[in-house]
Amino acid sequence: MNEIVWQLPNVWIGIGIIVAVFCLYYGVAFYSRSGTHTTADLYVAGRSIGPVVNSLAAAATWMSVATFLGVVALIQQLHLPFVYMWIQLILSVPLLVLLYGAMFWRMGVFTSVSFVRIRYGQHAAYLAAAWMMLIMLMYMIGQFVGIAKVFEVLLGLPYMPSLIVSALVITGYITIGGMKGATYNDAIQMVIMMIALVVPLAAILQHLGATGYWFPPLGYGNMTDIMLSKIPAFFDLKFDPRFYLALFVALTLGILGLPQLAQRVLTSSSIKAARRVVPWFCLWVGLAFSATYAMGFAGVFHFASLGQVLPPEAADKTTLLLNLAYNPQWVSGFVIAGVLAAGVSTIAGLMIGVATIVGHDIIGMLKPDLSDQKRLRWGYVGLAGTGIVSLLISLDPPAFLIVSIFWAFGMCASAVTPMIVLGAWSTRINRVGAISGSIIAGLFYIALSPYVFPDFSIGSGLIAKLGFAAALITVPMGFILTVSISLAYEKLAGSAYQKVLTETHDLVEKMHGWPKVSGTRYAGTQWLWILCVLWVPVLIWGLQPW
Amino acid sequence: MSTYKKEAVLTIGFFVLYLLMAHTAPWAIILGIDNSVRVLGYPLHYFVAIAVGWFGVLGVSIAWNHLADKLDDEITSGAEALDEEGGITTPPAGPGASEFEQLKGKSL
Repeated sequence: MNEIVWQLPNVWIGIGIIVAVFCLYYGVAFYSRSGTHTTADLYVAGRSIGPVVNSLAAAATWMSVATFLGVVALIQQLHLPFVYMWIQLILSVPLLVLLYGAMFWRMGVFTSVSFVRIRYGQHAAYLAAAWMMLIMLMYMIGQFVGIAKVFEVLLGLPYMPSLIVSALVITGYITIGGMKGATYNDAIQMVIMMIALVVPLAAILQHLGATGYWFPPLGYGNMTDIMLSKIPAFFDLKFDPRFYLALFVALTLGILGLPQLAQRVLTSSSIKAARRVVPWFCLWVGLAFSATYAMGFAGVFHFASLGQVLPPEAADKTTLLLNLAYNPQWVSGFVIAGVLAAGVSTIAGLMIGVATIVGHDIIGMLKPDLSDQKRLRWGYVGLAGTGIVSLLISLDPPAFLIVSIFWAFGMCASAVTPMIVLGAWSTRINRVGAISGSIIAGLFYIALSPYVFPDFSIGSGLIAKLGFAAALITVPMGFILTVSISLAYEKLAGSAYQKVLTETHDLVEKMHGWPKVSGTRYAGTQWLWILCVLWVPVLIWGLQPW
Repeated sequence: MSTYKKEAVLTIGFFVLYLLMAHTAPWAIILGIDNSVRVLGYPLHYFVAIAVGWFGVLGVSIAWNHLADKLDDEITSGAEALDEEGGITTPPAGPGASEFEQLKGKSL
């Protein structure tokens, strides 16, 4: 299919709408800058954000360019299994607030790395920072490249200048506004995304004959029979149960450790406000996700009706094609603004996440006596530097950095999640266990994936590329090693370890909000061993050939 | 049940509930799929996936908010801790978290 058919006939409509929304983003950023006086303002918006705005911002951080483009394409390729794969992503914020978000807020930390530093010490913090920055960099480069491709393919603008200009413009407004500006802009962007996704979709579904087009997320049920007559396997499960177990092990456990989402929750004005973010987040994300499945369904239906099979690179543009086919041009221009909103809001969260780790956590460890004003200046340098470095890497990204972000989630589940969740809930997890578990599981995950040592890779095809096959081995490994090495070290260290244990009790109990430290809560080992035993069958299943 | 146990039960319980709501493929594997069984025109397993994956998770979140707030109040009231545990008095934690700062950099 010719590339030109995907472009807006009148490019200036698209450019005009995009310039208008970016002017709005810059206005909000400049307005927010006047309220940024401390590092807490810069990194966590002075902990002043209410639940509705924060939930919109968290949802925007979570929606990426893929929500508009890649997801729709993958539903066309994988049908129902991809819907199952995507649905569980709604658990990111709920699970991280449930398992550790409120505790982090109570501690007053800015990032997950800050928690690791306080809980396990500096060496573990450097390790956690390295994993998190790698994950966020992979994510961010994907977004920069995706946005440049939107300009190139949908508006017909040259790729490289689009990449450079868009990256600089995005870096500019995020640096100016800090977390406060990014939060309010993210909230605005989420509203733009939902309108750009849902409203045009209603018109598309009406044209395709959906009787419930007025509520697109659940309004296309009457098209089921026609879909089944054209693609009988659309609603089949297709994969074996191990694939669906891998969705939990690699993805659900991976996303709950993502630092940029945890940091978003820490901007809340109180613990209760942080909790209120969760239901609001589920409302917005559920709406956007459900609309995405509907768009995917509509895309499959549209092309099946025409008797066409799209190549994967063309399937990416289905959302725009459907809009060009069924809606006026200005609507397609607004949809492109929605795609860009999805990309820039994700970049904002990631940029602030990386800058906080570099400007606050790492520099804080190297120069602990730095004044808050100097840290604030370093923070701005960190923000701008993160954008520039990401741009430079995006110009010619190494192959290992542009693999699927799903693969990075598996790495997070293997190397980051165990040390954070176990450290928040057990006083018996220590520095040695956390570092060993993280390094061994993380490196094994990389080694068992097809990108670095293809001959050593476990599984094949999509299962291997997404990291599912490796994660079924390395995530259980991460949890089991973290627990067993911690307890073994404690035994070896003997009485010398008692002082450390007392301090850990003090920290962990206060994190949970207890006004008096008992020295016994969160100290049991029985549940840790039960957890390890539960992981054993998963590990054995993961070791079987796929 | 002590507040400490309540916290553990609440967290594990809601973790499992969240998984049941957002991971509905195992339900379809166990119960089987039949495209002729429809809800609002959709095959049942597809409807369950998209509706429970949204409204189910939302409902669980609202219930968890309610119960977690209540539990927090019980914990911070401290009455039970004073009576049952008899530990060392520490200042209440807050966003400043100055007491945590003292532990910074220590290897635990």
